[in-house]
Amino acid sequence: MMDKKRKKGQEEMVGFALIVIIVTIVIVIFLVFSLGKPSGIEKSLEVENFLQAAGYITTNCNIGGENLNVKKLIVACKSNERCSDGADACAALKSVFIELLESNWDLEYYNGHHLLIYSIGEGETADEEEIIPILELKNGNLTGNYQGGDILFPVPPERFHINLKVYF
Amino acid sequence: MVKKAQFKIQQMTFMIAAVFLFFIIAGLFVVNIQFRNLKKQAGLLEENQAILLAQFLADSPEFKCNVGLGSYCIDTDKLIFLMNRPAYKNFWPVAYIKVVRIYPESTSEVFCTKENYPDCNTYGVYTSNVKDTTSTGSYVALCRKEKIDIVKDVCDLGKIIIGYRAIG
Repeated sequence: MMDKKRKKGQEEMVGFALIVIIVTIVIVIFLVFSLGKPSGIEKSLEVENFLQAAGYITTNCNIGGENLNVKKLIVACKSNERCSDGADACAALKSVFIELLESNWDLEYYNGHHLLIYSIGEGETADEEEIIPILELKNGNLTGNYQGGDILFPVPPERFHINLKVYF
Repeated sequence: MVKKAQFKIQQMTFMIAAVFLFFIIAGLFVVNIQFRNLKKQAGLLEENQAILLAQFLADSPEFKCNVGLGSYCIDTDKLIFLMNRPAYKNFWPVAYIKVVRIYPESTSEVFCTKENYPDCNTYGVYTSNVKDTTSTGSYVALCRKEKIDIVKDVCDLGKIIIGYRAIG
């Protein structure tokens, strides 16, 4: 009699454990689907607007009698050109972006920023594309959350990208 | 026999209550996490909406740069003649519009007038009588025509700041 009772009790406990396990599995699956979606880059309109507007800025680098804007300076840097005062176009580009990043994304308020300018051109074969880095700037602590933006401007046959991630 | 059945019912009731409680707690946990995401998304959408409003205004014919320069660009030659015009009193659905140059950086705020233009950095375009306001801004390029031998576009980086009635 006692054995029968104990067996029944054990069966009930197993049943309870099974219910708990099933419910836990269901909740875990639900959480994985609802929260586990890859968030990817948090695209920021502010960062993209900054990059779009920065492309127009007139720089001190004069080539062919014209003070180049940032977009033209990027193209000049890619072609290893020099400004009329003898300065390297890439050095001029770097100093413009250092100033821009420091004045707009102050590291007192943000953890860090990562700027990458690169071009994508035709590779050796028709299907291939070649990525050529033009300028990379990393400042501060590049960990934690970030907001990013990427703009592109075509200068056939190439496409130029300016990519900025701001860490906070 | 009756006592045993009652005990069984009681046991069942406790069991159902425990499972129910478990579901409630798990549900609350999930709702809490979802709600936190929702709040974050709402904040981001509100911010983006404000940025888009600033962008919309910057793209209006009163501000926009001439043909050849695209979006995200404000013609400061237009701005200087647009400031505090009574004809625009109820034209813009905002509390105030201010445009500030942020690159090249300046040490102090100098309001623009027809006399000191372009050696200034702040354009008070429009101010209404609305008192309780909050503001948002969007990066724009500030371009003007300058004649050094030939007429050229000279662009700086700025922000269009829109003030609107604070809600809540």
